[in-house]
Amino acid sequence: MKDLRKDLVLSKFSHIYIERDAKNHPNTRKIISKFKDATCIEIDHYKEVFCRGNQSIILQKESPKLILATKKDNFIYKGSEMCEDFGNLHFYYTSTIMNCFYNCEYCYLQGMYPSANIVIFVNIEDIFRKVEELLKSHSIYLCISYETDLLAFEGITSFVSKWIDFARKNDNLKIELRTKSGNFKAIENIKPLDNFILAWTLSHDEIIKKYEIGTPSLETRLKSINNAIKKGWKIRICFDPILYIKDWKKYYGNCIEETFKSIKLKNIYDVSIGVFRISKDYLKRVQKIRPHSKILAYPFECQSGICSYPKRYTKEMIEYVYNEVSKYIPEEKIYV
Amino acid sequence: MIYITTAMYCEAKPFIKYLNLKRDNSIKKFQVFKNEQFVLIISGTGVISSSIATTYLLTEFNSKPSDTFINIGICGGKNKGLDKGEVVLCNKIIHHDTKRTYYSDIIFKHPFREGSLETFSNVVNKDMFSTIKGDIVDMEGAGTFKAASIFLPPHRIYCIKIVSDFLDSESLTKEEISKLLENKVPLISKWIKEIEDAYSLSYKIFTDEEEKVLEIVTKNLKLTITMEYKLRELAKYYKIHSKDLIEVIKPFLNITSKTKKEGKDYFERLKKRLSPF
Ligand code: SF4
Repeated sequence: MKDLRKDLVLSKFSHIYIERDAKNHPNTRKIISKFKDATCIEIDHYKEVFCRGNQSIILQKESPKLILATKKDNFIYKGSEMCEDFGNLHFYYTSTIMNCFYNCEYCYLQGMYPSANIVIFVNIEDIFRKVEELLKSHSIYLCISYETDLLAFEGITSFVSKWIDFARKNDNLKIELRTKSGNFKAIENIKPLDNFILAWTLSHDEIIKKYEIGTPSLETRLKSINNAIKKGWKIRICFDPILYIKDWKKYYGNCIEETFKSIKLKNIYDVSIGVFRISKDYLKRVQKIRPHSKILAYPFECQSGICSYPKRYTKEMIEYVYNEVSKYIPEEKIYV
Repeated sequence: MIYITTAMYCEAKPFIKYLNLKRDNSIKKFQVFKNEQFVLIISGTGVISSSIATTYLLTEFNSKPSDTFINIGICGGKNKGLDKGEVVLCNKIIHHDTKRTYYSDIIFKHPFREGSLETFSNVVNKDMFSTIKGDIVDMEGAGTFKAASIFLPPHRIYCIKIVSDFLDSESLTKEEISKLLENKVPLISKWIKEIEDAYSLSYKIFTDEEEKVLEIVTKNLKLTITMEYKLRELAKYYKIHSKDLIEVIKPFLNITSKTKKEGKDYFERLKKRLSPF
């Protein structure tokens, strides 16, 4: 494989595509003001750019473009069976941003979307309206950072702050914000909320360096967690996805030890554990995009359309991580 | 390979000269000029001619997704901020008749000005000013882009236009067009060569020798299609972990199984050896 001549590649967000309908939205103006040198191109619909055929996700990851759009439908989705609902009855997720800053080799979004460019739906108020409607009939558990890393974008969008404001007004809404970022400082001045969980995904630094390209180190993530704990936020720790790689026990053992030795345990809301799993269709696409990936070339076993490691390995990994975590966290707070 | 289309010979001439392209006399339907790295076709004027020529070119020369395609030619400028002779890399291409839009993926740095191009089916003049949405206008861009999109990814398809007039019915002679392009050819050619070499991902996992070894084992052990698929999957995983695939399969090369059951047993042993850790 020939390396990419990085010196020839444009900087991230060199171009911003803006839907005509989104042009005058205050969020659009705010976002554009952060990229003074970007070339802005007007479009009719985000799909004209986002859904072009034959796009190179690998190359786009090196120079992703922003697409500012308005969401017209599908404001909120029922939670997927592949995701933990943490015992919540009405589990939903929503995406105000599609795609992510970071470049994790195993990310399922590469198999889900035809492009690595980042779509920001600027009309977040329409999503709030939809959630309010649902809240009239029952309480909701809502994940807001599944198809992106929302906290990593906070400096550009301020969407996390807006979600916190929204959650403050609706106490029958429980929100989970999942992140790998070290960007807690972007929201550190906001008063913590009981119905807002900050969930950090953690990995060993070797795994971060090799497979979670562009994400902050474990130390940076832990610092953010500690600051959030100090401010009184509820914290979820996620060891997910656990990867079956050489010396996995050593890596995950060390990571768990480092985690719980460096953070105060008192505000840990719960811990979530899961091995790498992906839908069969996405896996096929991701394997095509990254033909030389060590983790994606694994001969996975597929059952009911979901691919993961053979049962005996899955069991061994979950048991090991569970046991290690339970040295620090009561078992009723550990979700598998 | 780098593929170029121009509508007229006078637009192609400076490239033919600069890149030292030779006419391919085996092709009678179009004028095609080439060397080892470039193939240039003269399409004729208009959306249909340009899309036919692009399709012909990319099919005839067996284009690969790692190849680059460029439509080059003169254009009219609507935007007064442009200068005559200025080179514009089109970041949006509008087909005036259908309102379809096309976008190059602009991932590589470039020395040109960017702008939107609108492709018309007939000659555009000042009276049509209010209907023009692009910064510049031509009669081919959208046709070539749509055709090239069937073959290549959007970061390998570009329209590069040189402003020749401002829709003020100033018509240039063929010599003047060639002259206008001549100065820009070195810059454009240098950029195209640079991005052509910038990145190419090899999708090939096995060497020819490894392919051969896998084929022999599959045949000798009488593996079923499912087993063959599994073998290739495991072999890929083993290879990617920088292991010597030939070495691990070697002991099985001289084994021939007589029955399916025997084949299955050998396959299980082979599977074990291919487990990387
Ligand atoms: S942080 Fe999450 S969303 Fe972002 S690339 Fe990694 S896995 Fe994908």
